[in-house]
Amino acid sequence: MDIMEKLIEESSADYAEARFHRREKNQIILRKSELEDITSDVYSGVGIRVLHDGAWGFSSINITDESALKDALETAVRMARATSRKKKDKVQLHEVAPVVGEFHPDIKDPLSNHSLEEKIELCKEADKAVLSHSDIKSSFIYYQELVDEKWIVTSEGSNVRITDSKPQFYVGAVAGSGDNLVNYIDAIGNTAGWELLKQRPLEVMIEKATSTAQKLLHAKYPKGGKATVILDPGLVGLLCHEAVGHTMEADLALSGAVTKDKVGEQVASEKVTMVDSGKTHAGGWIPVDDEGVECQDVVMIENGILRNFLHNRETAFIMDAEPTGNARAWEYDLEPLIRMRNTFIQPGDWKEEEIIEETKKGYMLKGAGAGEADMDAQFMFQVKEAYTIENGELGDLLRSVTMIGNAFDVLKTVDAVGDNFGFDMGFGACGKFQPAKVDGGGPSVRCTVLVGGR
Amino acid sequence: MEDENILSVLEPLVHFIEKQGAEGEVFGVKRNEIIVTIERNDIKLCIKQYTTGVGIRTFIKNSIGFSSCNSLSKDIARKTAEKAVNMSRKTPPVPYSGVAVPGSLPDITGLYDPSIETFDEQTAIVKAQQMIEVARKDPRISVDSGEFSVVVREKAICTSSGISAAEKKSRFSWFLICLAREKGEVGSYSYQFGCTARQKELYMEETARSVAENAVLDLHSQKIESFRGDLILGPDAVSNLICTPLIFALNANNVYREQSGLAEKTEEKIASDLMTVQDNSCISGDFNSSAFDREGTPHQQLTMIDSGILKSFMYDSLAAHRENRHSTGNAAGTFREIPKIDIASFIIEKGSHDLDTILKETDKGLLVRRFSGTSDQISGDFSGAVKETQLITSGGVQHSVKEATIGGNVFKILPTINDISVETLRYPKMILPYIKIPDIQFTV
Repeated sequence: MDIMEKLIEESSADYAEARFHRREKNQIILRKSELEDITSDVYSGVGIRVLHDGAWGFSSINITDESALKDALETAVRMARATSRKKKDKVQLHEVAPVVGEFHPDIKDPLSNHSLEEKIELCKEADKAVLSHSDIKSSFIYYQELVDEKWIVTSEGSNVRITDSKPQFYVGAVAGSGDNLVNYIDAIGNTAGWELLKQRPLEVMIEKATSTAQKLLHAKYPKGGKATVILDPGLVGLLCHEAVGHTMEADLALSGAVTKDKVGEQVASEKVTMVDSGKTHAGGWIPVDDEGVECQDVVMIENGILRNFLHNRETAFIMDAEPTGNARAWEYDLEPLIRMRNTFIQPGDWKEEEIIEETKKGYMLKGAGAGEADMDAQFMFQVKEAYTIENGELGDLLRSVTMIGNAFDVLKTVDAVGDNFGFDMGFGACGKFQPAKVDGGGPSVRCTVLVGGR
Repeated sequence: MEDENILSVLEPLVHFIEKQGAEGEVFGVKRNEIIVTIERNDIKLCIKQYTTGVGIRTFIKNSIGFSSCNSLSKDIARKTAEKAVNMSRKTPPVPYSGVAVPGSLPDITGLYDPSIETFDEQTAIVKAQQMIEVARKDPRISVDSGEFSVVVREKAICTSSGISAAEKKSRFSWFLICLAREKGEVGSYSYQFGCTARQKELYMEETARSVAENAVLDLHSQKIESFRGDLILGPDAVSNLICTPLIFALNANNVYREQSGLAEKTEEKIASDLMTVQDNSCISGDFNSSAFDREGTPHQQLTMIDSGILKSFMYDSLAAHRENRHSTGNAAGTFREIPKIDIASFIIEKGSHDLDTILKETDKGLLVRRFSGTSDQISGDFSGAVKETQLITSGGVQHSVKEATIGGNVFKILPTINDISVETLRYPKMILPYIKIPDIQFTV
């Protein structure tokens, strides 16, 4: 840390930041009782980013002695010089108050208190329980923990140490035979210690995975078309993150995302207020970002009006806004990009049961599966469970359901927002050029979407 | 220490592991790279870095341990080996697991182009700039993002079974994401990737031209009525929609674990006569080629589907040993991952008609360059929206299409494929053509 500080202070660059990041990843995968993966990976080093004559340069090194760090810093400066000769729009940074201090998540039962044997035993127990159910042919059990330690030093005085702990656990069941196979995975992930497994007990996950896989085997396909749907907190989270959130990342807005010139415009029903928060204790918890900027809660949409983008220091300068602490790098050898953290819709005043009762015909959609969206906010999400609703009552489970639409068109149709709330993006992984742990959630929400079917 | 020959670091580690009473497989990597990133029609950032690492898998009887670190320092690597051995003492046995059997490596030439050594950051920045300029020759085009990267990658493996192999490769790769704007309208994003092992074969300008042309095609999209017709999938859509479940189902370990829809179908017809699928990373000079897999087994030309008949699954040592046969050299993964079965260079063989002819022979259908949906690995069910899509009627392209969806099952459509193009596009680890499938429901 002292060496990093000294080098950054002495740097000839206009701005410099050094980020030491040590990540320990431990992972166990069982498939049908066979240990497919048992991994312990340590990935550690320093990423150095500098701004010189309006251009960025980046270099990283896995050795942390003074001479190696000095070389990496000199390389980063050389890269910035080379870039500045060709760069048209020179980068400038919004001023920020430096942050100094240590930040740790609220961990009740550290993962290091639990042995490898205990973690393997948990996976074996889940595997055995899944395979004990009739109709279940195969299983998929996955445990992963990411334990991070970071030090960030900037030439403008930020000096922070952050620790983090993010475990995740999946229970998957495959039902069927021959070429008629279906699967269901129940997943949890959070910023937590071993207490994660108390947030959704193992037996609940096993029951959910096995019973849903069994039901999906005999489920019918939906008929495609526009429909009234009620989204659970997981799908609301995915809608907030994937379809709306990316268009609110200032780098993508500047590139031409549909939100670019819409600040102050009504883009959603007035029942919708959407926030991105780093400090909220969920899967995307970060207190300070990788530019050493303290994380702010960002109200992206307030009562349906588009308000604020998510920024790093560069886009904040361009758009004359405050930096929001959204610059994140996955590992030491990657540069910080604008990424979301925990993105959610604030709860309303409907009971979830009331929303269902007052829905004549439609679908109850639950569970965030895979999803993707374009910068025009057109999205496609895989729905893990879809139930028909007829005259206010839940009906049959359907299989292979997707929801499709334009996020802002969909948000304009929101006519009921529940008073329930949860973060539930399962494993919560985002993949904008590099991975990031994120979370999303909200209350149950009723709206209109295009349901993909046959 | 970081600069020395990788095998000289790996060999003592194998001896160390053996002294602890285990068998070992030690895989090491050195990677030197320059990456130039592009954002908003401009050069964004230049990165230069050097990465090393070692992944160590150990076996005590059939119990496995795996540990990795991003260092080739002898002390750190030895501690990593110790950790792997300790894990092997605690894990449940995996019958048939063990280090790979040595084999004769294929002679693949042209994987390393020495001219890469003089390729500096300034040259890489110029190449990235050229991509932007070519794409933006059409004023309607905006380059959202992109990348040009130059990598020298050395890998080596050493095992208790006597495997000792090393390889050095040069890799140039790039991509661009563009969109077109005209009269206040913005089209969908268009993406294209390119790569080569040799500097003289760089073709980024062709990629830039092609991605720009596709982005322009997507302007002025119109809504259509629901209909049944022909689906012509572009290579990117083939990758998402067809390859995802097909590659999963062709994995011999997934067959064993009863998660493959192709189990017990060897020598059965599972696809159209037109379809031949290989995994072939033995082509001299090819970007995806390499002499050995992540376990040190020789790569081979593996035909998995021959004229629609399922011929073989992909095997690693575990799956091969279980069935008392040879590995097909399909163990894959980085030094940070335990080896698992995957493709090395997956090729759907090109057909005999060019895309223009395929379109001319289409009465009514959609040409779908991108599929924004899910294709379930296990069931093969797919559902989602079509993107970068044009309506084809009476053999001609009419206009781009807004908001249509498709659904079906990959294993059920494979036998119905009725044309495959001569043209192919490259993706990381794949070479794919256009594929035509009849009688698909398009819903709006």
